[in-house]
Amino acid sequence: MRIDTDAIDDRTVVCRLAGELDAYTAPDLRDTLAEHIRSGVAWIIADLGQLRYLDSTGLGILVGAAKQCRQAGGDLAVACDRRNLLKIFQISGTQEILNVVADVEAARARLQELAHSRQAGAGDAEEGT
Amino acid sequence: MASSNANTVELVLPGRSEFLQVARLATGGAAARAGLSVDDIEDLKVAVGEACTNVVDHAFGESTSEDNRRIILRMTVGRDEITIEVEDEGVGFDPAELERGRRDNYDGDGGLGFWLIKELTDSVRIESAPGSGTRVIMVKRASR
Repeated sequence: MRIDTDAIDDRTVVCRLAGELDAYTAPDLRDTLAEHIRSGVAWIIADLGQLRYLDSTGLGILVGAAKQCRQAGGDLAVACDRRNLLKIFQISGTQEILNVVADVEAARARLQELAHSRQAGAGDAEEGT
Repeated sequence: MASSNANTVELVLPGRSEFLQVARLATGGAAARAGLSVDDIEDLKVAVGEACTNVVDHAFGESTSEDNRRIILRMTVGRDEITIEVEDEGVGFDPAELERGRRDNYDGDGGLGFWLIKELTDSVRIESAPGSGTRVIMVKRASR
């Protein structure tokens, strides 16, 4: 599996995965995502456009990273349009918690939407105090 | 009892994660021979991959030597269907424990593998008991 990362800004990266994500390759992804989060990244787009295979170990890494992003005030979105991978997200019931959308543009839009709704929520909470 | 016939392919793989891809590649080849579609083959590769991952992650005790950590992959090619057995000689377990692997318990820390196997195959059966190894028997039929 190959992982290439593009930084959009200090808090946002796109990780493009190519190849096969299984129990053998998943630690590389876990370490890469953890390193980004440690360095201050809170918004991650996992671009699976070139990924051919995904199993439960890989899903676990993505779910774990999404939790860490949320703890850091951000979130994770998955860009994926491959039918065999979408089936894995659907069966596992992880489409929503991983914000699975068709492509990177839609993933960026989804994360922006989440950021805005959280800002609005924080504003409401402030007004209420 | 393991089942095999003149259309059975049997591979013995090292029980390590770097060989999971080999198990999937072999599965893909045998499933194509059985006449399964590309989509069915992709489903089956995930199911076999999950069964093999379970062997790597759970089948062997700490005292098991590398030489004794093996995955036996037995594929019997039928007409429009394939039967695949994933077998190990590891510590075994009580199959009733698998109920913990239901989707609604999924928390990102594991437990999803068996759920995927059930959903992606037409039938699955597990033969295991503590101390006597495990055999997972999966059947996948060609979609109509």
